[in-house]
Amino acid sequence: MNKSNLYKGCLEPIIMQLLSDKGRMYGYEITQKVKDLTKNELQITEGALYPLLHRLEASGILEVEMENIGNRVRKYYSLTKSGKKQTKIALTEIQAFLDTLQTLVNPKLA
Amino acid sequence: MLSDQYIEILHQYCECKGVKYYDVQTELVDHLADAIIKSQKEHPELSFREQIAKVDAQFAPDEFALITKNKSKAIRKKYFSTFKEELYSYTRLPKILFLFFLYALLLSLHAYSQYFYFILQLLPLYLTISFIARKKRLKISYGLYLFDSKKPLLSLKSIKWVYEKIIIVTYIPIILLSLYLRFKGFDKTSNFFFFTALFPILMVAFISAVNIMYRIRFQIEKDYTKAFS
Repeated sequence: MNKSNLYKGCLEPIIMQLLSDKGRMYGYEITQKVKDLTKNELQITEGALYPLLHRLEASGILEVEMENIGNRVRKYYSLTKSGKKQTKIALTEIQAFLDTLQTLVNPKLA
Repeated sequence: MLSDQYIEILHQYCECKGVKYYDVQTELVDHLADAIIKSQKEHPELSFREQIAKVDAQFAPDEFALITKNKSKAIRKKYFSTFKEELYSYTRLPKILFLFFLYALLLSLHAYSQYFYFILQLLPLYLTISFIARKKRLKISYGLYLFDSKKPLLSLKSIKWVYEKIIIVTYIPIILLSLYLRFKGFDKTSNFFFFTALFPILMVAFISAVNIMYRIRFQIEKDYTKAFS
């Protein structure tokens, strides 16, 4: 089974949680952090990451800050006030989702 | 740190991949530059072109086009939300006072000037001439230079798109109403409806559109200085 499909629906809370921990991050940093934390288990593609970041920015969950890094411009993403609230909700939801999965996959442990 | 020349090559690479907008390119260039710097550390024997090819292999063929397409949708949504927030701000005190002032001004113009409808139609007329002037590349547009930049920007194109839609939706009814009232004359009902409800609402929408257009334009200019110099 394609593992990235399993993670697909969880990308949003994963990124929100990362930003909640780190304060602000840029695109490449997010991909590397996720890769490191999951020991290469989850590799976020750029085609999945950037549209998601742009969508969250448009929804007012993320805000951006541009910074000149030598000869290029870096776009930092951070959670807005409402984004922080949304993160808490998203994490509660994902925990409930994991519990449900646990019940289905391994009823004895649930 | 990659040299200016390499950064320029990365911009060209993005352009070849179908990303023609500078603001979309900058984010991808930053991403690619970081990926290449990492790759250079792991494989210092490879040339810059080979490093690009290596990083390129990690991207799906339509990934860049997908990013641009989705960003375009997201950015328009964001600007429409900004417009809605701006409209909403007119329900709070300092701006409510401004609305009353506008309303009083309109009423006094109507009461004291026989040229009221003429004045009312001047702005849309100027707007129309400006659009034509813009098409003909004449330098008399009503501030449409605000949408100009040296390099194409998706954010600028999107705010122009949103701005034009709002102008069409708000100003066309103003023109039609003013023309209707000009030629058909008033009765008490239409007078009341026009001045107390519809016209201030349309004006607020118009002012909000202009306001956010300026605000976003200057933010874009601040964020992407190189696209304007």
